[in-house]
Formats: sequence, C-alpha cells, structure tokens
Amino acid sequence: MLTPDKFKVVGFSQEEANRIDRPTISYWQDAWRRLKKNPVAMASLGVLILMVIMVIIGPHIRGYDYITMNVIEKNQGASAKYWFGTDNMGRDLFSRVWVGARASILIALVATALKMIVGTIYGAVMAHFGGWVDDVMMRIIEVINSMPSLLVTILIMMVLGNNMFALLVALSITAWCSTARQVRGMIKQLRESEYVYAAEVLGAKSSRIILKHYVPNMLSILILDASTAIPQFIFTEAGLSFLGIGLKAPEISLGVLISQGQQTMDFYPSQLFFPCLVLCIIVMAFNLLGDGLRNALDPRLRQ
Amino acid sequence: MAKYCVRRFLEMVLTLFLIATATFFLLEAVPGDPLTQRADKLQPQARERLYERYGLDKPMMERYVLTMKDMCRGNFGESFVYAGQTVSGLIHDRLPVSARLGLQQMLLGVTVGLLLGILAAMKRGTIADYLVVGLSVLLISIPHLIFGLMLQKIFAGSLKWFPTIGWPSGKDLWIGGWKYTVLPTLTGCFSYIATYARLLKTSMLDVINQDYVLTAESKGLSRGAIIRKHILRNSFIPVMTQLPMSVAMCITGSFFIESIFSIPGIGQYYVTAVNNQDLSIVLGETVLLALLYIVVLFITDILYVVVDPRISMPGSSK
Amino acid sequence: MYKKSKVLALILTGAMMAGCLAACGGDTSSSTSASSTAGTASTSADSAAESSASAASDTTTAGGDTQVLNLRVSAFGNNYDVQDMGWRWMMADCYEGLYRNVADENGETFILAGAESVDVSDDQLVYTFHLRQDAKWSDGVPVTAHDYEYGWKRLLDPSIGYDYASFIFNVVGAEEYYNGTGSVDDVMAKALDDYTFEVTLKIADPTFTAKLVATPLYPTRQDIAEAAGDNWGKDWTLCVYNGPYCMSELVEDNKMVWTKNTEYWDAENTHLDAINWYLVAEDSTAATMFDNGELDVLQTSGDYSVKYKSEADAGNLQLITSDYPGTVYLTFNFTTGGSSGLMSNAKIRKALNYAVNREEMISAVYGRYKPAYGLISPAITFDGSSYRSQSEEPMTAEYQEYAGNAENLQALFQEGLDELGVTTPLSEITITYLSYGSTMENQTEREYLQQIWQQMLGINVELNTVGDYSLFKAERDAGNYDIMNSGWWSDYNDPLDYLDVFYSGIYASTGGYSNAEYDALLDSLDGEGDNAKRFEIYQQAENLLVNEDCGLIPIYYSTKEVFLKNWVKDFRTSSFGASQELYITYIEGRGN
Repeated sequence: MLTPDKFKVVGFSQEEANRIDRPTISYWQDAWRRLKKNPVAMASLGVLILMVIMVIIGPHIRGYDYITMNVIEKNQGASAKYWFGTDNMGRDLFSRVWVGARASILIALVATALKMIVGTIYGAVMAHFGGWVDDVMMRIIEVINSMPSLLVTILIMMVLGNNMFALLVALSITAWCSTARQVRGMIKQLRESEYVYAAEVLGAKSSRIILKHYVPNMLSILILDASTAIPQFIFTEAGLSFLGIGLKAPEISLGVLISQGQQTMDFYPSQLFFPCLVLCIIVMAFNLLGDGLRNALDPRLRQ
Repeated sequence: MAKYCVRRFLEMVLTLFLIATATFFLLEAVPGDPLTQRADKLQPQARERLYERYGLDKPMMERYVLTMKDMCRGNFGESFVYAGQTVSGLIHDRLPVSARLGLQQMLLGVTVGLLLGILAAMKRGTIADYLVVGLSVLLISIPHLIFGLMLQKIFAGSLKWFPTIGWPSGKDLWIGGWKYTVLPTLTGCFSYIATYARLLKTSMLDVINQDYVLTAESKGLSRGAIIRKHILRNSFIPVMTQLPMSVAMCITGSFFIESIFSIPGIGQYYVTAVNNQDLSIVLGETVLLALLYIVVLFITDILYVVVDPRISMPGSSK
Repeated sequence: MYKKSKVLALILTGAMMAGCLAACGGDTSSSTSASSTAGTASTSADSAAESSASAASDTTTAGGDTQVLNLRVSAFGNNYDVQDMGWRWMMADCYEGLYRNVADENGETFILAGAESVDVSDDQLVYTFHLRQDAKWSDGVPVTAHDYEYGWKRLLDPSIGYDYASFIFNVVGAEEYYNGTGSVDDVMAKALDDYTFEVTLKIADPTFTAKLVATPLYPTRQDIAEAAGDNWGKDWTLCVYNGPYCMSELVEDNKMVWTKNTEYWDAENTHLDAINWYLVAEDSTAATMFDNGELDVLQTSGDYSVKYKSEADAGNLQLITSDYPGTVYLTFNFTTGGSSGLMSNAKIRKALNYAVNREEMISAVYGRYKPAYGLISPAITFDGSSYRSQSEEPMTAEYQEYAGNAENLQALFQEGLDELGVTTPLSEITITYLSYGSTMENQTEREYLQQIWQQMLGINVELNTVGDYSLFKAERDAGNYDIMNSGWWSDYNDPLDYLDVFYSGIYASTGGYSNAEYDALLDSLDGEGDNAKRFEIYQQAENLLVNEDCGLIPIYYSTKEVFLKNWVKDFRTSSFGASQELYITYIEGRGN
C-alpha cells in the first residue's frame, strides 16, 4: 500500500536542478575526443610526430654527416652500414634525407606561419575597417589572384635569387590571400551572428567575446587552412627545385634530393626512392590528418 | 546583365594594368643586366646600338611609359636574348600546345574523378569506397613529377608503348599525334581525379542526408531517379564552382609536365626565359598569361550566371 | 700585334659540353632558339628545303631503310650566322667553307670542300684558292669568291664586332679595318674573279691553314645578309645554305629538322633525307630515347657513358671516341688577390691546386674525361702527332710529392701564409669559389671542390654560386672570388691557341693573370717558322704558366664519346670546325 508517509521531502535547490551530471567539455576537448576516435588521423599524427623526431635526430643516428664525401663508397645500395645507401659522392643518404626533410618541413611550416599571420592580420583589418579600405584591400587580393600562383612564385624567385629567404617569400606571397578572405568572411559573419550580439547585449567584455567566440572559430578555420597548405608548400618546393628554381646546393631539401636522384635513377634507384618515399609519407600524413581534423573541427560534419 | 559585364570588364582592365605595373617594377629589381651576355663581346659603338635598340639606354620611368604604350597596342615586347622573337608570336605558337595538354588532362581527370566520386558516395563504407578514398589520398600525396618520371620510364622506356618525349605539331596540333599525348595527359590528370572524386563524394554525402532525399525515398521513387534528379543535380554545385579555376589553370600551362616530356608549351618557355633572364619575355608572358587567366575566369563567371538560375547577378543583388 | 683583342667566345663552364654534340660558344649555355615553328616553316625563303622535305617522308633506299637520322642536342643555340660561330655544330652540315676537317679511323684530316685547289706562294704569304664551280646555294645561285670576300670582310666589320675577327688579323689590312684606322678596301682578302679567292698575310703563319676550317671564314651571301639586316643570323627562315643540308623546321624547345639540300654540288652522294635534332636536357631521358630507338646517336655522361661503353664492347653499338680539344680549369683572382687576399702567393695557389684529386673527381663528378695536369689538350696535334705525347704534363712531377698528403699540403699552404706575413691559423681562413650553372654536374663539381679543399687543407671554402653567366661576370668583375670556374675550347689545331689565352690582358677568365716573361715568350713566336723552335717555346711557356706560376688549376681534358646504333654508317666527327660531319652518313639495316 502506497502511503504518503513512505515519501519524504528531500528538499530542492536551484543548483541541484541545474546540475550537469556529465562533465562539460569545451569545443576543443570535443574535437580532440573525436579526433582520437579516428584511427587514420591518429596514425597520421603518430607518423608525423615520428617524422619530426627523425628530422631532428635522424642525421645523427648513423654518425655520418650529410656533406662529408667518401668517393670510394659512392653509389652504394641500402646496407647495414648505410641504411639508405650513399649518393654519387659517397655521402650517407640516410643523413641527407633527414636533413633534406628538415629543410622541406621547415620551409613548409614557416611559409604556413607567414601565410597565417599575414592573412589573419590582413583579413582582420579588412573586416574591421570595412568601407573603402575593405574595397581597396580586396582589389589587391584579386589582382594577386589573377595570376597563376606558380607564375608569381617563379617571378619572385627570379628577383630575389635562389636562397631560403627568397623561397619563403615566393611561396607565401600568393598563399596568404585565401587566408585573408576566409578570416574576413568569418569575422563579418561572427559580427552579425546572434550569439555574439547576445553576448554583447549581456554586457560581455570585448576581450571575452574575442577569446570565447572569435578565437575558437578562427582557430578552427586556420588549422584546416594550415593542414592543406603544408603539403602544398612541400610539393611546390620540390617542384621548384626540380625545375632548378628552388634551393641550390649545398643547401638540400627533399626537392633537391629528388632532382638529383632522378638523374641516377636508372642505375641507383634508391637515390630517388628514399627521398620520394619520405616526401610522400610526410605529405600523405598531413593530408590524412587534415581530413581527420576537418571531421573533428567542423560541427556540420558530425555523424 | 550588360551592366554587370561592363563592370567586370573594367575591373579586368584595371587588374591587368596593376599586374603589368607590378611586374615591370619587380623585374627592374632583378640583379644583372639582361643584355650582358650579348653585349659582352661587342665594340662600344655596337654595344650602344644594342642597348638603344632595346630601349635600355633610357631611364626607368620612360621605359615604363613606353612599355605600357606598347602593350596597349598589343605589342608585348621582343626577347632580349633571342633577337626577332616576340611574346605575341610565342603565345601564338605555344598556347595551343599548352591548351591541348591542359584540356585533355582536365577532361579525362574530371570525368574519371566524378565517376569515382559517385561510386564512393553510393557505395559508402564498402571496399570500393575505401579504395577510392585511398587512391585519391595517394594521388594527391605523390608529386606530379614523380608520376611523370615513372610513367616515362615504364611505358616509354621498358614497354616502348609510347614515345619518350615530344608533342604533335603542324596539322596534328589539335587532333592527331595521340601517342605523344598519352603519358603527359595521364600524368596531369591524376590531381584532377583526386580533387574531383573527393569533392563530389563529400558534397553527395551532404545531399544524401537532406530531407528532400528522404521524402523522395518515402514517396517510393526509384533509386536511379533519386540519384539522377535529386542527389547528383544538387551535389554538382561545388563542382561547378571549382571548374572555372581548373579551366583557367589548365590552359596556362603545366610547368613540371612540360619540362619532363619536353613539350614546347608556354610553361616550359616561361621557365627558360626566367633562367635566361630574358626580362622582356618574362614581363610580356606574365601579363598575357594573367590576361588569359582573367578572361577565362570572366567567361566562366558569365556562363555560370546564365546557366544557374539561382545565382543572381552580383551587381543587382546589392 | 696579332693577339686576340677580347672575346669570351669559347670560355665555358665545364659542364656545358656534357651531352652536347655542340662545341657551342659561351653564349649558348641554356636552351631555346630562334623564332618560328612548324607553322611558319612553309614560309621559308628556301624552296629547295621544302621540296626535299616533302620527298623525305617517302624516300627510301634499296635496302628499305628510311634515310632519317635522329640526334640529341642539350641546347639549341639560336645563331645561324656563320661568322658568329656561336653554333658551330650546325654549321658544317648546312654550310660549307674552303675545307672540311674530318676525323675517321685515320685521325683528323683536312679535305678540300669549297675549294678545288690551293696555291701558296713561296714566302708563305699569299694563298690563292681556286673554288669549285659547281657549288650552289640552296636557292640555286652559284657560290662565288665574292661570297667568301664578303664573309671575311663582314667578319672584320667594326660596327658588328664579331668575336672571331681577330682570327684573321694576320691578313694585310684586317686589323687596321677592324680598329677603324684602315679602310675595308685595303683588306687583302679579295675575289680575283668569280672562282678565285686570294688572301695575303702580313707574316708567315704555320697555323693559318688550321684556321681555315673555322666557320667564321665561311662564305656569306651579301644580298641575303643585307636584306635581313638586324635579323641576320637570328631568323633561320631568312637563311640560304651551301652545305649538304638545309634547315627546314624548328619547334622550339623540342626539335629541329634538316632536310637534304638538292642544290648541293655533291647531292648525289648525300644519302640522308632528313636529320632530326631533339632537344633533350636530361641524360636519363636521352638514354630512354636511345634505348627506344628514338635516337640513333647519343652523347652522354656518367653512368650512362659506362653502360653504353660496355654495350659497345659487346658489339651492340658503335663508339667513336677520342680526345676533344677542350680543357676545364680553375683560375685565381690575380687582379686583387681575391676576397681572401691570399691568391697572390704561388705556394698557396699550388697547395690549392695539388689538393684536388683529379682521378677521384672525375670518377665522382663527371664519369668521363681525362685528368689534366697541364693546359694543352691531348687533342692538339703538333708536327703530325699529339702535342701531349711529345711534351710531358708540366705539373705531374711536383703534384706527385703532395698528392693526397694533407700534412704536406697544409705545410705548403702555411709556408705561403708565412711568406705573406699572415698569422691567421688555417682553420680561420676562408676561400671563395665562384661558379654558375645548375646541372647535376655543376652542383657536384662545386660541392666536391669545397669538400676536398676543406678536408685536405683544413680551411673553409665558401661557395659563391650565381644563377647565370651575366651574374657570374658581374661577380667576377667585382672581384668577389678567390678561385673561379673557367676553361677553354680550342678554335684551331695548334698549342698556341691555348697559350694565347693567358697572354696578359686578353681574357678576364684568366683572373687577370699577367707575366711579362710569359708574354715575351709568346711574342717571340711571331713569324717563327721553325717547328723545333716553336715546340721549345711552347714547352717553356706551358711550364712557366702551369708549373712555376701555378696560374691555373687544370681539372680535366675533354673527350669525345659518341655512341651510334649499328645501322648508322659513315658518321664522321671532327674536333675543329664542326663537331659532326653528316655529308656521307647513311642508314643501313635499321629495318623499319
């Protein structure tokens, strides 16, 4: 028999009612959680971390430095002594590949950073001022975009010469435009979005709005942008070196090694194979990680 | 429409002018003197004559004005290194080569890419899907030039199926001489395959989840009809936005492929001119390529507006 | 003085020759060519070329072989002006001079070509050439002595300023005309009648005949050249030809086609209907084409050279190999002592010189060529046999003392430093090496030198690498180097051609080498007709330059190495004048 005395008042508080049982997770925690569930992306991340470790310590593992030649042992295949074999001047290919990969990755990262920084600032300025400033700045972007980007890159290399600085400038000079456009679009969209308006109305400080709303939204755009830009830069650098417009010896990058390996590939295919392999692994890992990030960061792609 | 076209056209002219100006002053900053090699061995009077002939004896601003005037008259300059060679003649000779290469690559690549994209989307989660996704990641992760070298080595070198280098000329310029074009076309089409397969697959998956597809299904429409009438039609929109860029890119030359297969296209010539410090050719070719690029974008833009009723005239919407 | 007055002409960076049938001039270091392509080929002024072009496609010999030869070239020049010699590999087969220089099993020989006979006066000063009367240009006009006269006088024209004008400064009135002090009418190279051409020299010159095969001394048609004006030699469609072949098609960056010249006086014995030149920059691509049968003739380097040599040994290919008159060397900055200021000291120069292990360098960098311990190439003959076989290489003996011995080399370098009063330790000394070029060979060459100097001498080597020749020249003239890349490709068959290069103040490529004693030795050769005397002076001069002064670091002597498919018959090469002679070449047994 159910009687009232079998019940007792346990009380009620506002806090209790609003309590969230499961831990709150932020946007970033959520993204990370979803990325962790993606085995391909995690594997790519692992590979990339391995690659970064290798380009740092790789050249030192075997104890052969990448420029000391040893003509007696030239053009050797892979062996226990030279893991990737040696090149036409008897230099250890294992060390050279990692030094080259270091340059390639570094170039790609710095060029990407330049692209991000310039693009963000440019885009933010456009969005902030609007009006004729926006118009003029947009026109500049359109002018730059009216030329095939490789053309501009080659042009810049011609003016500045074959060195690392020139290469960085040449690579990033057209690349920042797309970032600027995206940033501008995003800021304009956010400014007009209701939740930002709501936050403003509720009296949130502008620092809070920037930190809580602008930054996370922009960051996800930028991260995605970067994940596609990095492999592109690695490619372009390799291609330029192949055409003889990139870095010049004794500076080496994967592109330089590939163009050298290409000339001996009939006889010593390993000299082409290993730099290509490392290049492809790096690019593929970046691409797959980029896919994973896209799925994790873009709420619309949630399944 | 007419108003929009006129505005776009004026913008185009302004853009071109800015590009020409920027390129001119950029090239002024190139170290060295493009005539050194030719003037090196000349007597002083012959040397002066040479500099005079190319107008290099005049101050920079005067040359700038002259160059701009010449360009307006359709005269894009003469080679410093090779007397008698003009940019216009060059474009006339080489553009068809690059254009054919680019179009063949694009047609093949986009077609195969779209088919693979449809396959992957429809057979989602099956082996076929994984194969397509894997293939497209692989294709964009291996540089063009490695593909080119491999194809050349295998199909021209070992199997002897195709010629190693070269390109049809004369009456075969546009149609014919196919055996020369197979390997370069294949090399270039891979990136299109990868790009378009991924693009279409993503957009199809978006559409498949839409309510109107569910509605169509519940109405009992046949699968084929749903795919044709609802899914494909709507998922092609991102493809359509990507295409103009591809067309413009493909005509303006494939630097790496032309270099690997010794194809006498504009891309290869550009690299040669840069290596030769042939500044007048570089300037002229840059401007002409930009012109071409802009015009193609412009035309596809207009076509786009004409074809797709949902896109209103950008000018009139404001 | 008879000395050459300026010229960069045949001074090149070493790698330029690699894989190039061309003995090109210094201004053809990268590719591309003159205007016009297949489309405009039909507008050619040359109707003969057209008619034979259409015949080419279907003419075959009794054996059933298409008479088409496919060759590789690594760069197209774009110079069709015979007087300019920028492109001598083309000239021999499209043009013809008084003589041809042909190499076959019996070595290099002169054969008469445009001339039927030559009379030389007893004092060796007057040469009278009797021309063949059946020679014609490709437009049907006879080749006359007036064409030779115009060609020679054009070569001396001061308003044009050809590189090779100095080649005939020994002709009476020539140098005066060139320098503006004399008149063109006083140049004693004259057509006596349509078929007699007479040249009068200032002093007897035993090397004069050797120069006559050079293309600058070929005939030129006045009417055609003047009609073309500024475009003469640049636009091939304006040219007429008097050689066995005519140019008939040019696809830039791709290929060039020559067809048989039906007006050629010996057209009956010209077998090939067409010759295709393919522009192939990469050795690997060329090898694929050669294996594929797309090329019949191949010049290559490195591992490919080794591979094909063994195939030639097995009888699957023919190999034409010999010395080629080119020497690649490095020169020092004598003008300022270099950016390090040390190059004025002979001991330091020698230490740098002896540190280079040529055998090793050839094996690692070039894969072919011969190590050089002197300046004059073994391809140069003197008195009927190779100069090198008669005269020992000047630096061999001293080099042996130091070769591979880092301790001794460093001691030598240190001695030099002490002489200069420099107290900087070796490890803090930096030497700058200037070079240009971006081929694999260029790159490994400079990396090798950097490495070997650092290893053997314990100094630092900085590479000053620039993009192209004009920048190289600017850096050179600004003195931003200690050592630079240089070399010499011979114009005519005499040791003097090499020794002249280092005569004071002629070539900037010597780094400003200047030695009064050396100049005096060369001056004493003027008018010297006694070969024994000449030989002695040559030896003294080379020894002074290479050994005592260490005015250069010789690296290698060039070699010629041409691989032919077995079906290519009677392919001739030569080391002077043209690099290949195709006038009697034919195809037999290709079996298409």
